[in-house]
Amino acid sequence: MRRSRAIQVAGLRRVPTRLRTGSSVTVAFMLAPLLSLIGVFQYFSILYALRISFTDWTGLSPARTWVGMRNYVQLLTDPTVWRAFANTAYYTSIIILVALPLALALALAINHGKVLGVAFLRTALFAPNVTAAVAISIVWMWMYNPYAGVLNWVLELVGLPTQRWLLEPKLAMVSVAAVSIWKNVGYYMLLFLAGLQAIPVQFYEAGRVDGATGWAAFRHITLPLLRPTTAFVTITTVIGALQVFAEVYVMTQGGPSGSTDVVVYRVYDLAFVRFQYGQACALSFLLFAVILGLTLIQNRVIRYELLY
Amino acid sequence: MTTVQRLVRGVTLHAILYVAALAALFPFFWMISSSLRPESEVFAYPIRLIPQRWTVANYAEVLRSAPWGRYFLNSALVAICQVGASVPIDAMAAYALSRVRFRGRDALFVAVLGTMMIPQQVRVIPNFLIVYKLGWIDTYQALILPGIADAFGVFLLRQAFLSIPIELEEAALVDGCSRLYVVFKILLPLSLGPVAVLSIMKALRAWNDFLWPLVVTNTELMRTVQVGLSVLRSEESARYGLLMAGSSLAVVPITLVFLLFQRYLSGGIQLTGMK
Repeated sequence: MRRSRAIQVAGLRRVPTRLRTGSSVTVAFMLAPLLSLIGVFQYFSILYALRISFTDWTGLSPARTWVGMRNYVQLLTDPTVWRAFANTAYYTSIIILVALPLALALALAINHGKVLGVAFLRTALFAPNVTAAVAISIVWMWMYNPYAGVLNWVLELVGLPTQRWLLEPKLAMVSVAAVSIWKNVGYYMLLFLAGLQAIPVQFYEAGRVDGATGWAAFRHITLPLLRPTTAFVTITTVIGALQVFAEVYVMTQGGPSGSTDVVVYRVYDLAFVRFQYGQACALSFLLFAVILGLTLIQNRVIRYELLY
Repeated sequence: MTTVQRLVRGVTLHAILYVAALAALFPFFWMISSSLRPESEVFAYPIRLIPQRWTVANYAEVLRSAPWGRYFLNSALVAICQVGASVPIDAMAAYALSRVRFRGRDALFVAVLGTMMIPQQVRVIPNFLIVYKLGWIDTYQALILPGIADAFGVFLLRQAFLSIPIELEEAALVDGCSRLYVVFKILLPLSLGPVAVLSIMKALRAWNDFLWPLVVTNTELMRTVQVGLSVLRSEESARYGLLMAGSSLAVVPITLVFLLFQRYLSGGIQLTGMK
């Protein structure tokens, strides 16, 4: 351990941190608030949820009996639950396939050199991210209105057939996803921008010497060096998308015909409408397991990418 | 590349960006525009982007229909308290987890960080039950406390503290300062950037939170802005002029706050992106 000059000058002997007077009490005091809050509202919570998931508690009465894995079995054999997972997966893939390339394209455009009004563009593109999901979902619902909504008006103007958007089972999920995409592209763009700006210019210069410009430079320099960023953004997006709730609650309530019934909406419905706390907790645990798995994959992938 | 090619590329780039910006801003514009027209004009077809007749009647009616002043107070209180409590709590924990050596420190840090992987939905039901058993339904404690417990701030501030030269702290400790003094009078003032980012992001999250306040409040007076808005939506489901006014009330203030502070944020987001 190196002695700091200050201590040397003061002529004091370096006392090991642990033994300094009052320090362990202070440290405990410093950690206490955070640890107690996290201990209760995070760790105790999930253990509590786990325990409830093994009971048939309905919340309406204190009666609770241990039923083991029955809730899980019931959920895994319930077609509505599988539909919820399928819908959530569908929603997630729309977001990944549309929002990420769009965000990357915008990041590349902004990064590309002199752009007029960069500050305005960055603010404008990020502003949607600041809105509350509830409020902005109502606005989009209005825009999606089949009779008086702006979107159908625009379609009519250009001669395309109008759509029923949120009322059309085949389109509803796409419409809900569009709101999320609108809301989040700015944020993903900023993340990609950070990744792009971290690529040293020298790589491009070296590439130019070898004749790689434009598209070739993009494919062989930008994309590979962007992989850690892309991995991070992708998995973060997936984890966020799996938890979608507010937009569905406000715009479609899981309909029409269950086409937008997502996992978290199912959880909400089971717990606060049907009072099936046991099943609700079990379902939320299944979701948690999926998210945990993806997070662990993300950590592994990022670590692997950074070894580059 | 020839000048023409360069010009074409430049124009295309700007076109893409400005079209995207237009798409990003249009819903804001449309929300406000729709909110300022009388009911008759809201549903008028063909659509006029700018209202022919302006009115604030929608806003008046929304504000009359429910205690929106109280909703705003509640949301603001939650945001301020969560930020105000998080910064010191997270700072102290971040310091303990970065500069103080004790057994199990690194394991503890991983345990704290691990909570970032737990999605909100898993915690909603059990937290609701805990709050219920404590008799805290419809109270401010219920709205505020669970939201303070999150590892994001600890992570951010720990990074910030680790980048401050340790000599500063050692010198202070030698001079007899307590560790608390070190954290609050030395480390925090030197980490104002990350503190700003943390504060803004937490405030935003608190203001926009929906599921938790929805679940934890029953009475009208304890609702937050977002919950109040969703109630408005279920009560007045077709009166879009009214709903747009409500949404504007929910969105515009926080967007303005964001615009004021946004230059701290975009750098910070990139900070949070690269763990």
